[in-house]
Amino acid sequence: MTRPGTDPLLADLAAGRAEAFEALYDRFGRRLYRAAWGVLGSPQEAEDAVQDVLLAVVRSRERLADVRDLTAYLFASLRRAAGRLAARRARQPVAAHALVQEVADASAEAAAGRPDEGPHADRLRQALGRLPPEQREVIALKIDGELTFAQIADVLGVSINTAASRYRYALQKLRRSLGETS
Amino acid sequence: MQPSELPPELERLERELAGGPRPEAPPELRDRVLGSVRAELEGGERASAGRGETAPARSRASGWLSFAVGLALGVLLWMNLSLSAAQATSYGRHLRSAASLETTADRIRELLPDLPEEEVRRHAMALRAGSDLAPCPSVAGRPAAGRLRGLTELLSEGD
Repeated sequence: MTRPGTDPLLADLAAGRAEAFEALYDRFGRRLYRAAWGVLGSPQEAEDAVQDVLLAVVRSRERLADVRDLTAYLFASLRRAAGRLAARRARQPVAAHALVQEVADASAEAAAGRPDEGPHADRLRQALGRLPPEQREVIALKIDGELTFAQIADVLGVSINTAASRYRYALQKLRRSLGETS
Repeated sequence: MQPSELPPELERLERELAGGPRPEAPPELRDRVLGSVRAELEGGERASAGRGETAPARSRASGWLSFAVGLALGVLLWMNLSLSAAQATSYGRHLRSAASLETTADRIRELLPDLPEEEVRRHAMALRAGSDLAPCPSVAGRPAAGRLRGLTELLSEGD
């Protein structure tokens, strides 16, 4: 976890050093990718979202001096990128047969990138997919992004208590959903 | 809320989620992302080197440009509003050409023959007084203003 205001990486990023961006990817790339996949449900869009986040850091590096918590800053940027990608997807008119093909491709692509999962893990993923977006998002930030509730609150722009209770409701709903399908 | 505050069944589910197999970013994503980052960094440096500027100088220049554009827009808006107000303002010049109170009263009598003499005098005085008022915007389309304009036009024609 990044401690607010003390991350030496921020100064190097603000200076535009390429090695700093490599270090940034190595430190956060995996968590960003998993959280993006959790939110968007598509490996291709998760890759695009991670790329968008790092490019956004490059473009706004002059403002990095004001960043208190790099982790929360990156995940807030990821949230915006995911929102843009989801909106772009929603705008694309897709013919029925193309939609079927797209879903099949995405499933195959997802299966190829995902480690071998048992039937229970599979059910868990399906149940996660049935959650409302805001609950799926909070689980992705907590479990895949490994964020604290304070950081989740920062990212979502809500209080820590709201972030924590949203997470609890999401887990409760997920548990009910798993109970219904078992 | 601390994780320990979750009921045991939800804590179990949380452990399952965290401990289960999770997707890994493909290895080529690192090269793709860092390649685009390098291109963006180099593009930015080339752009600022071409202009002989540093990043803060670029920021100052864009700040000044925003201020200049904002100022120009403000001036244009002010000019537009001033011209509109000037065009919509009646200076009552047509009333000043009316020769006298009696001429005005005669015109009113012609226009409204049934109006009592007392009212004719009152309207004539009001019209003459109106001609000496400070400029004011005339509100087009209002019935009262339309009637008044009709009267004053009639008076002007008579001069």
